[in-house]
Amino acid sequence: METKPVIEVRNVTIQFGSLKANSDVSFSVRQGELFGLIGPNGAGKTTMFNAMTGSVTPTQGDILFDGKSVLKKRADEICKMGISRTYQNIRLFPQMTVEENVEIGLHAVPQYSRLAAFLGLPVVKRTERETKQRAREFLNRFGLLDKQDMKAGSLPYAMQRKLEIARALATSPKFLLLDEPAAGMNNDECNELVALLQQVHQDFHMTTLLIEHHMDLVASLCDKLCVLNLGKVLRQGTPSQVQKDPEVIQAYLGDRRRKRYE
Amino acid sequence: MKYTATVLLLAGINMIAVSGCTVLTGYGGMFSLGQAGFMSIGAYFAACFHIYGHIPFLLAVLLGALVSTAAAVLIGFPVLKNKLTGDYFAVCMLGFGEAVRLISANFKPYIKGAMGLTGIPRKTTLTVVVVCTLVVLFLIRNYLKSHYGKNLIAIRQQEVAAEMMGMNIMSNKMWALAISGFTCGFAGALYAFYATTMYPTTYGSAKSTDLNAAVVFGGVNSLSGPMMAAIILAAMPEVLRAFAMWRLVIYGLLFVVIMLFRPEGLFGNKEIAGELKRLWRWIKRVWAWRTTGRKEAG
Repeated sequence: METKPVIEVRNVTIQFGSLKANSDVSFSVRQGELFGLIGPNGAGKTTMFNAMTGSVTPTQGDILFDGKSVLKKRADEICKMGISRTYQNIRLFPQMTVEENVEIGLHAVPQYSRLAAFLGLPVVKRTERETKQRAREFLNRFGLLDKQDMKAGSLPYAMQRKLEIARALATSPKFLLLDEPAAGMNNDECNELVALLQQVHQDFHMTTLLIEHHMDLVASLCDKLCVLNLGKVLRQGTPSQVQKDPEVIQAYLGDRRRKRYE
Repeated sequence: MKYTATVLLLAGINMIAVSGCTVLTGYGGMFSLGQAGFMSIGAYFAACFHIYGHIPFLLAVLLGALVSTAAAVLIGFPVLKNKLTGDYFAVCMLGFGEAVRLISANFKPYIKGAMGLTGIPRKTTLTVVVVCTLVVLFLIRNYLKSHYGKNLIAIRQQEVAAEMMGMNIMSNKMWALAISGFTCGFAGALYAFYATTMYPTTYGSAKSTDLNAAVVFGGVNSLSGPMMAAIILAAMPEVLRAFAMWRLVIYGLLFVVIMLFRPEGLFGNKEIAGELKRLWRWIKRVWAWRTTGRKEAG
């Protein structure tokens, strides 16, 4: 069954001076899909993410979200369209508590006016209570409820990654971008993360695009993969198709190893 | 008594100015070296409105503050549009403050240039200042406690992520700058109606430094901390009158000591009310322990 594409990357080329970070990349992610974007270091995966979230403007091509172009839009406008992301180098609000971090995702655009805020109208208190309640629900789902009063910066690394995903979901996106969610995690934490992401995918019916290095994680999680190498699309398909592809193996392991592998 | 009243009046005016700087510098993390410019604008315009336009005192003060808010938006637009932050923002604001000083020193009609504007009626009384301070503090406190205040902290800590969460960085920062423009202009205008004279040098860059000092002394995530600091810094020149020459040296020394031992400011993230509650709980606990201890002993 084919559902409509949520995000469509059309012939995108991104050039920094003489360096082509991406050249002529096209792929699309369909509603409800868990899509993996993989490739060796420097393949242009994060640059692709940055283009989707407005921090980099492609030299050529277009990126459509729900049929509308995301180019030349500010990050907050893109967020309002329904895209949310996490970062490879974690970007939490380090001196805020865990709970406050999620709350920011919920009230980045407060539901009351500034005038109401100045006067301290009852709506402010009421909204604050509701926000706290909803933030706790998110934390509970992610198993961070007992850490809610800790400073986000003092959490262990794996939990910071989880918190970032929770915060990204708090903006109620339609499309979630995860940049290496398993980076720096050990095997146990990695397995836990896979279960969590599957749970999130089920509960929120979230269309997700994932950058990852762990082949195992990607294979067990994603419906479809797109392999980038040196800024170009190398292969697209299901995990089992991609894993067997000799060119992909070569990009990942090198030529000599590939011969041994065969 | 009169002397105490004067010190209180100056402290109140200082608190009004610092409250806006708390929003801008404390919560928003935008270090401005030109807040005195807003005070000048507020003072000059309010005085002119009153003297030449015969607008009643309090209304003139309010209008002066609004003109200064408009100035903040006007300077904020190019500065924030180009995403100037940190030192660049500070230097731009320093330039703005100096520009205001030089323009007012060379603008002869109405404000009489470097001669200074004299003959402003003395209308600011302690009552007026106390009422104004309470109203301004009430509004600022509410704003900082609301989600808008939390969003400002988020922008200070991690701007990239805050924008991706859906915050319009420019408008949030613009509001912070406008609020600080309003309170500084308001304070400047109140002071003009107390001092009865207004010179281009009344608010120099030393005044801007004073305001920032209060915020940094007090703590960057707190309103009551900077307010305490504002009172202390307003009273300081009186206390240190005997060695006026050494005042700035003592300021500098205090700065260094605070930065060494409490880099997040005296109160850091805490509010005085919260700390008093904790102290009270502690006293109760000690008291309970003492009485039960006695019973067991008896």
